[in-house]
Amino acid sequence: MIQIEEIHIQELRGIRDLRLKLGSKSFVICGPNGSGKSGVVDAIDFAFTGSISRLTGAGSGGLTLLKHGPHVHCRDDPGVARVAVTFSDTASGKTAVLRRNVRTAKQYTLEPDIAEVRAAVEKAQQHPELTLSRREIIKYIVAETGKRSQEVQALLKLDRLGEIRSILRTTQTKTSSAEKTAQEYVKTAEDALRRHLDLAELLTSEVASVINRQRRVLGLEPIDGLDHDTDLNQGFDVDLSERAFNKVSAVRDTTALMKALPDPVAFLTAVKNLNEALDFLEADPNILTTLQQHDFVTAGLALITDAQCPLCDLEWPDVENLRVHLTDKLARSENAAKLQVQIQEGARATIAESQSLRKLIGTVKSAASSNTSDGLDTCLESWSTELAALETQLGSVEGAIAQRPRLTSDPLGLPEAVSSGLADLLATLQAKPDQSVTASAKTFLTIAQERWNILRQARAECTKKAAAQAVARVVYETYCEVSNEVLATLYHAVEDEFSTYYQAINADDESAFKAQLEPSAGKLDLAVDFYGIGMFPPTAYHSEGHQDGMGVCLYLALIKQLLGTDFRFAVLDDVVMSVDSNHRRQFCNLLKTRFPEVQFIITTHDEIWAHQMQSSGLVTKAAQVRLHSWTVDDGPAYEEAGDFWDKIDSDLAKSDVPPAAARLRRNLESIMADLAAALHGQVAYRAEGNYELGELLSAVKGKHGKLLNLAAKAANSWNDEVVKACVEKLKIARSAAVLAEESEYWAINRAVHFNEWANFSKADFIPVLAAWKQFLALFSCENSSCESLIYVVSNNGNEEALRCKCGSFNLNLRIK
Amino acid sequence: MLSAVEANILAAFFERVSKAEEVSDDVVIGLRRAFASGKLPKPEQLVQLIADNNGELLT
Repeated sequence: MIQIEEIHIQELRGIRDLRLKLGSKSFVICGPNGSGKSGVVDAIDFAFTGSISRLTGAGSGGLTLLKHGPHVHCRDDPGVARVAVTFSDTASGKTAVLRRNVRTAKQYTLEPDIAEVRAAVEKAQQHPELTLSRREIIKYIVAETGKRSQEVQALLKLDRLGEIRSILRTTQTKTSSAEKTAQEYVKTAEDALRRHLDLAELLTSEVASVINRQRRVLGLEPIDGLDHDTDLNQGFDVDLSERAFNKVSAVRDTTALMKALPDPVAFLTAVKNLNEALDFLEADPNILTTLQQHDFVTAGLALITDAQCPLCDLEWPDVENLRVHLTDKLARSENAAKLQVQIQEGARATIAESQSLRKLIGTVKSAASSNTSDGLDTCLESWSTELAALETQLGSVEGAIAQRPRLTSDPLGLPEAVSSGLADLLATLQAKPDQSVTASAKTFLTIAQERWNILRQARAECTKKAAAQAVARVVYETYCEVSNEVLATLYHAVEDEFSTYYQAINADDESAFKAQLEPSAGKLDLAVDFYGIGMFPPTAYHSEGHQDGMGVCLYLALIKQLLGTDFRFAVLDDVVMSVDSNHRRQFCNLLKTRFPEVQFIITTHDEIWAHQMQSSGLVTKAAQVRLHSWTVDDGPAYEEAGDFWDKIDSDLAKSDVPPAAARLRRNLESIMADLAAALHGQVAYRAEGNYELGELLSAVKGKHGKLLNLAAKAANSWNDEVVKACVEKLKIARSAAVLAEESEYWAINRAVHFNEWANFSKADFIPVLAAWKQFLALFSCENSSCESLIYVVSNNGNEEALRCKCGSFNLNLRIK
Repeated sequence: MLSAVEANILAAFFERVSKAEEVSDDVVIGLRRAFASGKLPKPEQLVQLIADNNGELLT
């Protein structure tokens, strides 16, 4: 994975020319709204992915990287909008410079261009989620369950799970339809044989009995039973030169067709079901459009090979974005797809019944062509052709819609001449002289064998289809089972991490917080504990700030699952803007302690939070930049981070007291809160978390004094003369600093409560400043490169030491 | 291209489905091939695959 050492941005978004040295360490970009922070985020996004996510996706209609990526003054010259990033590959330790410009955004150059660093860039390119804003983070929390599932699966690169599931489900549906059709063919073939044998049911003993009666007439051996290989006419040669005619059988077939008409129940029931499904479609024309899109998009999804859309040739930032976009579209047409299945099932049943009817028509037509001359056979042929054409039309939803007038008026399309023709045919057949016993037996057995052959084939086919359906079902169910198991394990791991992170941020009031991620049928329910009262959706009772915190925690838990130890880099663009100051401090600790190897690039408009990130040790003093005074012509002005004392000195050099005083006051408030937390200083609890400087100062001073006394006692108990002297020196320094601070506190007090800085002169302010510098020096070590405040180290609630981050300041608090 | 988790799921799926009595070895081999390229097969291809490779087993 990559980590950024330096970035040079030119003419991109709101930035004209900006060079930042990040040193492969966590870095803060601070500045008011509209100062160009997100421009830096866009530049990082662009450098590694060749696109800018803010210019794609929902709400970005009409925006393109080529037109809107360059600075507005360079919008006609995208080649000058460029980024150069010096980065290190954490796996190989090698460093390279990546260069990319907007005109040829898909290409980049590397220097040196070696395999390891190219692989690192490719990996970063596959993970655009490493750069994200609050808007993107909060979507994991506030999303609807179906949408959340998509977002989370997209983040975890699981969006093809749904596609595979859908392919296997469709496979199962298709094999199931094929099995039903095969079953209907069997039924049709059984009907034909049953009718010929004049049996109510095709019981083996009864079939054998009827067949043997005819065989006896011909002097043939009786058949013992009936199995798949039995030949009913074995022992005599069938005359294949002409179609066998059996008067009795022909009469039965004709009678059967006459009885079925004019209202063949099974056919008309199937048509009725089809019409009901088509009614829904007709009621909302948009469904048809969605349906057409569904097929179109499904086809498109299957054809994706790169970032170019196979449907419209539009170039997408990357192949995953394109896939997510089309999958989204498919999900939106899910209801339409269900209706499509209903229509297809109705059409399939109608086709099967029509085919069954045509088989009977075909049988009667044979009898008609050899026994009548009134054109009944032609009429039946033409009717059968009409029905076959209807079947073809019903093969598609569009075809079914086109046949709607026929389906709702006269689906059968029975020609008028058929009914009377059938009656005439029946009369003709009945009037024919009976066949000789031998001829009748021969033709009976021949037709029985023909129909038995058809039934055997239909049954064999049905067995195959049933087995194929069983296989498709097992395949689909096994995939669902396996993916659900893996996802459940994955989500439980995410759940645990998420809960742990959130507890760490909210240890003061939600230390027992827990979360549940429950996948079900393409959805992902998220429930969170609310103060032990129960599990609720995250948006039900938690505040917006808490939801922000949850969003980041869930994101971190997901990304950790996705990348594991490869998680070494993330850009967080103003992600915790609604989280209050106290919880942000905990958030800093979370990032610092749980993700020590990760380079976080964090933007914020809040200077206090920037300061908290420094005082917590998440970032160093040097790893910060302040952007300000942005103009269209010049982009942001910026200053590398420095000590806020330097800034106050700079204000005073211009005799500009009010901004210097305001800066002092805000930083004192922030530092005192940090110090109170670091030293375990106690203040009266305030539910809203808004502590006043005075109460924090008092807690810090009091606790600091107690800690020095404790350190002195500990040194005495261990008889450590060096430490005793050191503590004594610190106490003297403390007395002087506290005296100075208390002497000048009146100024702070008036300024805080009465806003009187404006009336102060530079001369008034300088001693105040000196007193506070002296006071705050008590809480830092002498090592100028150590930027942390001193803090209490405790173990199981026992305060054991007072230390700074570098270890130069280290007082034992344990008494012998 | 499938992600690591997706590929793991597919591998576990092949492992389990190969033990199912209803599914012949040929179908499992066909399924492995169908997903091997990283490009997803169409349902029609799978229907055909199952039909082709279960014929002998079932009749």
